Amino acid sequence: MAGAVQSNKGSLRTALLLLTPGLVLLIVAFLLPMLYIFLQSVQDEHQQFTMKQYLLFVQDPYYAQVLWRTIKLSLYTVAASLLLAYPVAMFMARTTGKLRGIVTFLIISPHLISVVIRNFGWVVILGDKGWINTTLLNLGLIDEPLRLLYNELGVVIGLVDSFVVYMVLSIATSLYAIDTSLYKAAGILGASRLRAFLTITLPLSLPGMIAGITLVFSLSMSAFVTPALMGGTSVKVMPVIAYEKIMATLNWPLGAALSFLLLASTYALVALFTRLIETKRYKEVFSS
Amino acid sequence: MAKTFDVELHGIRKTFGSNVVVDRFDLQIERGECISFLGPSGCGKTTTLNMIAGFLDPDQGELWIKGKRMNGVPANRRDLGMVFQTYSLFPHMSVADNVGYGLKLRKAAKEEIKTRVAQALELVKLPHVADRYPKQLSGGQRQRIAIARALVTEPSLLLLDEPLSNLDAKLREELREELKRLHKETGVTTIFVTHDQEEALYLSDRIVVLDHGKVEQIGTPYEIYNEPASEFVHTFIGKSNRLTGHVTGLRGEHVELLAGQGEQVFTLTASPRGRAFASGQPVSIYLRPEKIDLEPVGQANASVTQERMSVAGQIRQLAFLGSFIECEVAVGSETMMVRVPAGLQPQSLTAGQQVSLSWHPADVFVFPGKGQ
Repeated sequence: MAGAVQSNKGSLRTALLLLTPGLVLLIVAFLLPMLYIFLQSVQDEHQQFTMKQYLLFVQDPYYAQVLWRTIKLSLYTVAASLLLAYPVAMFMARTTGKLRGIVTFLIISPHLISVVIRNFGWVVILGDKGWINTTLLNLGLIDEPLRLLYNELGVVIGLVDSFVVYMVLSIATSLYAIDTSLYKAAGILGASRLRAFLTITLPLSLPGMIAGITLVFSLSMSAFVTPALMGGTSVKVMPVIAYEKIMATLNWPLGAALSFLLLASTYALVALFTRLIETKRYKEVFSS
Repeated sequence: MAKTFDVELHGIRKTFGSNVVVDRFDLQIERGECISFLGPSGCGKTTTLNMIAGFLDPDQGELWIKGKRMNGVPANRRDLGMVFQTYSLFPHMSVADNVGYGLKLRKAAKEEIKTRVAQALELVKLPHVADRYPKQLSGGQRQRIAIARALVTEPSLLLLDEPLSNLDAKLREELREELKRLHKETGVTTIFVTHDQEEALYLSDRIVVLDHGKVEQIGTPYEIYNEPASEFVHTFIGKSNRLTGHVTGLRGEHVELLAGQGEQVFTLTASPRGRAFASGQPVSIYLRPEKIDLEPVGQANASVTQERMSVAGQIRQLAFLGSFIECEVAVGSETMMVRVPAGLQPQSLTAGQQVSLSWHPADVFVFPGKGQ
């Protein structure tokens, strides 16, 4: 017993020691700047406390519109990622060994290239003179180029391309954990493959889907490069206008307030989502 | 009309690549029978079960269940019950939902599902766990629930895929008694796949012994144990002493044998059991440890009668195993294990002691061998 306590104490000390470098980095490079930005958002030009930046959000519907658009595009991105990722994850769960390794690599490999380059790649594909429009025009299927870029569709395409990988890997991980004999059991009890998917696979992959949804949603909410490059001037989202306030108009207090509003709404939505899904029963089944 | 069987396998063959996993499997199972597929891993027993279940399709041959040809029919349309080695309960469903899963798919009414689930849980003596999740149950309880889930739909055939292998020894015995009782109560035709000979002997009406994809023997537990069709069957079921030797002659209904090497040889006789032997032929000779009587030399040898054979030996080692003592006895150049009931006088036996071993020639099995 004494030995166990001793080693517990020892392992606690080791754990703290292991955490220290990360903690120091987070405090210096993340927490302190956050605090600084927050202070900026509640100060006026004479360093006096004010809530006027936050009030502006309520007074001017423009900001609420941008926030709503950010949320909407993030939800679209989540939905499209989910639909695209699930079959891929199922394929990965069915393969083993080398093939699974190859597929995993193929899914991750685009991310070895900078997001800026990948977005420009999309411009080449989706633009008015991109190959989709050229092909369709040449085939005579359309008379004028389809608008695939510099609108909400373009942004969602770009975001899905950037973040679908997180959805695939999250879902695949939870599918790997399902004992394949469960499918046999469902089959022998009379379940068709579709029925087995709906009653066994889908519910048991819930933790992976929740992780994927949370990740893709948070990343989409805070995405800056893709909306800036593929949304053009018409599709403004929160990170983009926060950037503009700070860098273009040098309005640090407003930029800071917008950033905090974005952070708060993302956090609130994710918290609400997990709260709704992770019921008592869910915890009973999936807690280890 | 010819006799109808619940399950019929005709010339079933299955290959994976160039590997023949099951070949020329013929079997007829009567209604209400409990049949075991017994064999070492890789013998084809699980593959055959998977073909009967509908998870695999045979390359050749026909499979009939209840008078219906099943080749190509998917598992979900075969109306079977199955219990798996890993329990395979749905972790996200309560015990009641697990057991009721098959009934729900058959579109049974809610009330009916409730009653039948309750009955099934009663049958496996776990009526109080309906609202729990599989995770909250012990291994033995989980397997009972899995059995209830397999039986609740009143399947035409119950398949048991090594259902006891994941349980510890004591539970395994308990659950196999339970399986025997359930089989008796429900009368469901059952196929039981196992690598454990004791389970097969305990539970089955008949045993199919498999090796390398081929049926070695189909018979009652008694036949399998006492009249093995091949050397493999004899050695796979129970313990046996193997001696190498050769045939010295044929006398009436017996084969005369010489076992051992060099100077240290001894003679035996055995029943040929329908096999033909020629003088000089190398053979493998088997004798089960419990069929040998051991007497210290010098004591009155009451058990040796005219019919019995006896040889002299020396005890090398003794092991007390509760109900019996296992003696390793040197006989000529060979070593034989002998089981002596422990009730007698365990102290009277010591290592190094000279003893006399005796047995009945009918208990000696002889198979054509490759010699040494």
